[in-house]
Order: sequence, then structure tokens, then C-alpha cells
Amino acid sequence: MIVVRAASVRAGKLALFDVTAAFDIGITAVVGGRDDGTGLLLSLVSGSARPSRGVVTSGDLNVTAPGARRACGFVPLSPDWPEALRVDAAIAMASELRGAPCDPRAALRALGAEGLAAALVSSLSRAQLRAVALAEALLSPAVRVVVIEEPFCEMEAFAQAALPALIRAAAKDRVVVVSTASVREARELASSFVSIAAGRVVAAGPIHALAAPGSGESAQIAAFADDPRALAAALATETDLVSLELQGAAVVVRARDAATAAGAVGRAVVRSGVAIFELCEGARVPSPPSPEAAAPPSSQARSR
Amino acid sequence: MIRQLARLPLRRFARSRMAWLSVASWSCVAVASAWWWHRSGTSAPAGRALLSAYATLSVPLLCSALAAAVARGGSLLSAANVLSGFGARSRQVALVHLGVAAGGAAGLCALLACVVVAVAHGPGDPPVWRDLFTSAWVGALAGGAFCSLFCAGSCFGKRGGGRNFLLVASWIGGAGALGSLLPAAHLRSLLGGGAVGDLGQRASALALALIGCVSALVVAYRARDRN
Repeated sequence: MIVVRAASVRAGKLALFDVTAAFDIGITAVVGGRDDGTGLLLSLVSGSARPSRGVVTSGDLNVTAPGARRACGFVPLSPDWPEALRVDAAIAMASELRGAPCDPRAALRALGAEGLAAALVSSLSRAQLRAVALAEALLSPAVRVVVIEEPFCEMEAFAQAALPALIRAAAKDRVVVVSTASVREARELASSFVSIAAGRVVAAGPIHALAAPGSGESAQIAAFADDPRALAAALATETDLVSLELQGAAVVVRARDAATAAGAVGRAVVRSGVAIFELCEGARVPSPPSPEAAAPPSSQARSR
Repeated sequence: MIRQLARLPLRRFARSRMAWLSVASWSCVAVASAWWWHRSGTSAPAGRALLSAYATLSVPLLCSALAAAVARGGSLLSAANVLSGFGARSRQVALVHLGVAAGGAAGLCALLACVVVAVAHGPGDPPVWRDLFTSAWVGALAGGAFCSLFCAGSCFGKRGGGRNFLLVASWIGGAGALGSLLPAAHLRSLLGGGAVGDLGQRASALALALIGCVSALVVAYRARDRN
């Protein structure tokens, strides 16, 4: 069990203030945006950052102790791996340092990434590197704590398919902490949650206590497009949306959370080929920019 | 464990084109200078060749390139931190990085000194085998000290900027009080140049070893709280 007690930390513009939370065996979702400090909390839990105040412990150990870090697999958005080694050699080295042998190819195969085994780590894209780091963290027998930042962002497609089942399997006897900005993802994956806003814990508990998407709370996005009808037609096929409305040049979509709404708009834009010139999140739909306001000042001066 | 930890800095050096380019370039400069001194007809050309391009340019720049290669061109602490994420002790990782860089630099500088002596050797120089032996151990000692110092410098600054600061300092240090703290003046003294203050050659050799040890202590101290 990982326990964070009254921990405060600052890293650049991000900060956590007096955070207290506990992470037990099973999947805990840290819900919030990166700017709220979710990544920072994950760094604390994984031992890669030290709190300026408070303590973070894993069992009897401080999480920054080598013994605790050996048992922790941390997959941030930008993993720092031994860039000069081949992927299989890097996984083998990681397992030797952790003190438990692990077959690199078997680990990669579980995520469908066995084709990357012979590649140099420095030649991998960020999504590929995250898939490799996830394979190592989830399948190394020495790892007892798996910490994953936004598991479905920057992730290879082949790994995304296998990921939920692998995370659930790992969580049977391990502490798994994932951060996500999507309430839907958190509800689908986790058994408990810690919600963070502006560097503070605002709610925590079993996952059913997390506001259900679509149950009274929803996010709204207004998309201003050059062809709003085409965008609305493409959005009509999206099943995750709660409502869809055409308001002049804007297409207003409501979904269970902002990430779902934005994902639907993104997919619809790709399918319809329309150009988006403004996206607004929130309840109020602003008026679109007027053609007069968009005109260059020099032409106004000439007309005077 | 140490063999495991040494694999990464060795690979970093082996795969760093910039490091190989630097080693090749500065070795060529030293050998070309040796050839020039040999052709110039002056007395003791090997000694002069070692004191000119070899000691002034090749050794410091070659060692700096090696230190940069194992530190990924940035901070040694962040380069070592890659393995701390898997549970290795930061201090141990950083010291193994330093050991690999310093060992590589010692070997390369010793080899380069032998090549320079072999190319430049002429009238007025000591017997060739004795000269080769002396130049080799002086080169190895200076290479190790320089590289350790640059590795210690790599522990300062977000991108290891301390390394470049020490490189410049070793050129402008001279043979005074500041120079006695840096390897350049001691290397020149051991190669037959001016003494550093009142220190003899034996003291300069000890000073080089001491600089290497102090640099290792600095690296160990700087890497202490990463875990």
C-alpha cells in the first residue's frame, strides 16, 4: 500500500499542496488534468520526485528508497529509458536491476509489441516507448506498484487494445495507479479514485462515488467550422454524445465529459474534412467572430 | 552489478557519433602536430609535440567529448537517473559512468601519447621505449584526471554546463594558484614543461591522481540524494 501524507511539492508551474491519499491493491484513478498536478502526484507515488513537505511511503519504505523504486514501474508521458540500448537489452537490464528475471520478448508479445524487440530505444517514437515501458512495468515479476500516466494517451494502437485487460490482470495482486482526465476512463478502469484540482485533493473514494458521466453532469463543446452542417452530419454517427445541436456557425455537442466530447469532434473533423476555426468549452456558446472584426485594419483605414 | 551498470555508458560512447568524431579529429590534430615537429628539425621534437597540440588541445577536448558522451551531452545526474528508475542506486550508477569515461579517456590518451611520440621522435628525445612508456602513463593519468573533472562538472547546471566551464578554466588557468587545481598545468609539468608553482613532477603526478579522486567524491556527493 502506498500512503501519501500531507505531501507538498512544486515543479516549475505545477504544485501539489498538502495532499493526503492512499493507494491499495487494485486500480486507483487519479482524476484531473496535468495542470492540476496529476503527473506530479504520480511522480511522488513512484518515487521519482521528493515531496518538499510530508512523506510518501510504500509499506515500511520511503518510496524514494532504491528498494521501493525497484518494485515500482512508472510509465510517464515521456519515459526516460536507456536510449543507447536495444529494446530487448533494455528490458533485460531493467529486470536484472529489479532483481527478477523477465523474458523481454514475452513481455513485449503481451502488448503486441514484439516487433520492437530489436529496435534501438532512441529510435522509438514516444508512443512506442510508452508501450515498451508499459510492457516492462506490467509484466516484470519484481514490480509490485505500477504507476501509469494517461494510459490511453500517446499509446500505440496495438497496445491500446490489450491494455485494459493487462492492467486489470496486474491489479489483482498489485497497486496500480493511473492518471486520467476522463471520468469515463476512470469509471471503466478503476475501482477507486482520487480527484485532483489545482494541486489539491478535492474528492476520493470508491469509483461509484465519482460523478457518473451523463448523470446530470456533462461537458459541452462548441465547434465553429467552415461547414457546420457537414460537421454535424459526421458527429451524428458518434454514439458517445449526449446531444448535438446546430447553432449558426457552431455545432454544440454535449457528452459525459470533455475528453469524450473533444474525441468525438476530433474524429468527426477527420472524417468530414471540415476546417475548425474555434473550439469553446463550457455552457455558454459565444457568438462567432464577425467578418468585420476579422478584416485587416489597413483596409478599414483606406475606406475611411 | 557493476558490469550491468557499465553497459549503458559503454553503449552511449560506442553509439555517439559526436564522441567518435571528436576523438578522431583531436587525435588527427595531435598526430599532425607531431609530424610537423618531426619535420621541423628542432631538437627534442617528441617533447615539443606532446607539449603543444597534444597537451593543450587534444587531451582536454577528447576527455570533454568522452564525458559528454556518457552523460548524453547533458547532466551526468539525469543520465544516471535513467537506471535509478529501475532501482539502481544513483550514486553507484553515476560513479560507474565516471569510471567508464575516465577509463576510456585514460586508455585513449595513453595510446595517443604513444602515437605522438612514435611519429615525432627525433634527436634530443629520450630513448624511444622509455619515452613511450613515460608518455603513456602520463597520458593515462592526465586523461583519467581530465575526464573525472569533466564528469564532476557535468553534475552542475541543468545541462551539465559545468563541464564546459571547467574546459575553459583549464585553458586559462595557467600555472598559478588556479592552475594548480586543474590538470592542464600538471600535465604540462609532467611532459617537461614549466613546473606548477614549487611542485615537482612527482607532486604533479600525485596532484593529477588527487584531482581524479576529488572529482569522484564530488560526483558521489552530487548523486547522493537522487534516491
